[in-house]
Amino acid sequence: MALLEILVYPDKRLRERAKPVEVFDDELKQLVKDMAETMYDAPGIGLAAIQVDVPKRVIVMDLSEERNDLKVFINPEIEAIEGKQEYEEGCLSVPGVFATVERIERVRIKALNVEGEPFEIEADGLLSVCIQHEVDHLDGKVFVDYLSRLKQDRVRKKMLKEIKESQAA
Amino acid sequence: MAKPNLQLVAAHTLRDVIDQGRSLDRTLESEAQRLGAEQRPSLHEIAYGGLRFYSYFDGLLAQLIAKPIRRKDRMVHFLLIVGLYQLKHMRTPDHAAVNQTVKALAASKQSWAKGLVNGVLRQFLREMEKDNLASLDAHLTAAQRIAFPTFFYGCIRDAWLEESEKIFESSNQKPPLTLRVNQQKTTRADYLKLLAAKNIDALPTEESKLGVLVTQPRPVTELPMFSEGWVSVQDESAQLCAPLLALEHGMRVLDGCAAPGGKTCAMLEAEPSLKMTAVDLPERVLGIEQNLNRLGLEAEIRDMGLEEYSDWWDKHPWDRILMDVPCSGSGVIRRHPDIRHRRQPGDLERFAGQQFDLLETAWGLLADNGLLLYVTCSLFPQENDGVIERFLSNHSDAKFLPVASAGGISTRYGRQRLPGVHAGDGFYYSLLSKAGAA
Repeated sequence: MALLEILVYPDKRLRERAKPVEVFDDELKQLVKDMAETMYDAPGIGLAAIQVDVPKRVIVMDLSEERNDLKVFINPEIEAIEGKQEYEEGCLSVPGVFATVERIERVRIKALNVEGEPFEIEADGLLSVCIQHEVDHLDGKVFVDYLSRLKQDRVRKKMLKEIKESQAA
Repeated sequence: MAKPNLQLVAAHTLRDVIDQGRSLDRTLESEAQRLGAEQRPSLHEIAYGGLRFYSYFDGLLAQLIAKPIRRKDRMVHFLLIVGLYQLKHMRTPDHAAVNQTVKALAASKQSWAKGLVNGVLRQFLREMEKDNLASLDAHLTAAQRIAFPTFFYGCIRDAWLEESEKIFESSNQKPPLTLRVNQQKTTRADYLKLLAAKNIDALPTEESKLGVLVTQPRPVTELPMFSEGWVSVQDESAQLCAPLLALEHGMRVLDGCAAPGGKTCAMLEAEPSLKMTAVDLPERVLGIEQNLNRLGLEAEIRDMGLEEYSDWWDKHPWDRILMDVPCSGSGVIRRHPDIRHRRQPGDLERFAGQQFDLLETAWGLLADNGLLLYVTCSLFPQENDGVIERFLSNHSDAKFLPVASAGGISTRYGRQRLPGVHAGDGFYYSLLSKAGAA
């Protein structure tokens, strides 16, 4: 068990496109465990492997208040069903920044579990927002990309300043 | 994705209402966007409860904190209020409430206050354990103990000294869910049977003949035949308005401050042949239409203030007018916990002036021998008998009639229901009749 380091925006490694998982072995299970632990500690409700510098298509999520409902999505694919929704998102790779992003309201998710078995679910509300946010990560996208140029610049400067300060300290 | 922080959003909500005087409903609407659907019921509970008991916790905090929190660090103050509310009134486990509040500090970049918040919340837990807060309570003012701001506390005691304790107490309770049965679709007895069949505990209301009190409040979507229009949500005191107007077949009726249309619909359910006109401001009329549609009723809706009647009035006077005028809301504090914090000295005079003007406008639209029912959800005589007294002395063609069937306390010109003393919200009713041409 280990806490993994979360990459902080605008780290270039967050821009990488993650590769599908092909081998379902103990190493993958360990990665999922460590990612879950890292997410709970943050605290977050979702984490993509790319955020801990592992460019694989692996996502962990837990939306429950009790933090006892871990969901794992490997090689996920999202299909839009209907609608639009707005939600104020925050990201473990962009600490302290929250901004409203428009997403699809209802989606269908096809993915594999940690054993490599396929499953399919439909999602709306926060679950839908979160899975879209995490799948974006796998494609090298961060929620900040949806904001205006001006806001993106402001976020970038703010994060760089904080990284500098924490290194100085 | 980062976990949306419930405590932080709740603290923002409290700050917007307390420090910025915003309305709770509007604040909640925007703040709820920041949370997942799963967290919204908790936000609602903390925001309502936190405001209901704000003055009490504010008084406790002053004792638990050695040095007052600086103005620029007000978020720490509101996070503490959220933490205290969760510890005292919610089933949040102690350690979870403390940890979540401390985490919220980090999310709002106030980590410097971790020690302070930890210390205050743990001290509070010790005091609860020791004597259920009795030794802290002993140092509070009477207003703080009952969780009222000093100004509003004074207003209520000035108006109703003897009844004030009961009023305060009921104002701190969660409001009941009261329904009005649609007499065009069913009867109260039949609807009570329907509820019993669904294992929903309910009782008939005492004063209103159409009221049903649901013992355990629940979303209306869980009520049988709600979307079919068999029942509407309406407080018992509000239900007492329509029967006072002696409505008859085909009468022309004006509801001059109609939104959200509860009383408009109640009048139409009592007498569907009425020619009803419902007036209110553009931003408020949407609710009237929704209510009418669900109940299958019809009314002409005018989306402007009553004072602009000359734009559309066809010069046909109305036989009956209901004026449920904007007021301080002091009778519905339990439903709107922000009211006690938002009212300022001078508000009552301002409301009374507006109420008088609206009443004068409406009077000009009333037919000879017609009836006008003046209603407020206020407890203050300035907005009630005071307005009527001034009106009567200015209008020789107006005379007040006894309000026969609303229960409550008889006042000089009408009747007053008081929360905690009588069932339902605090309401005032005065019935005026217009003399015929000589």
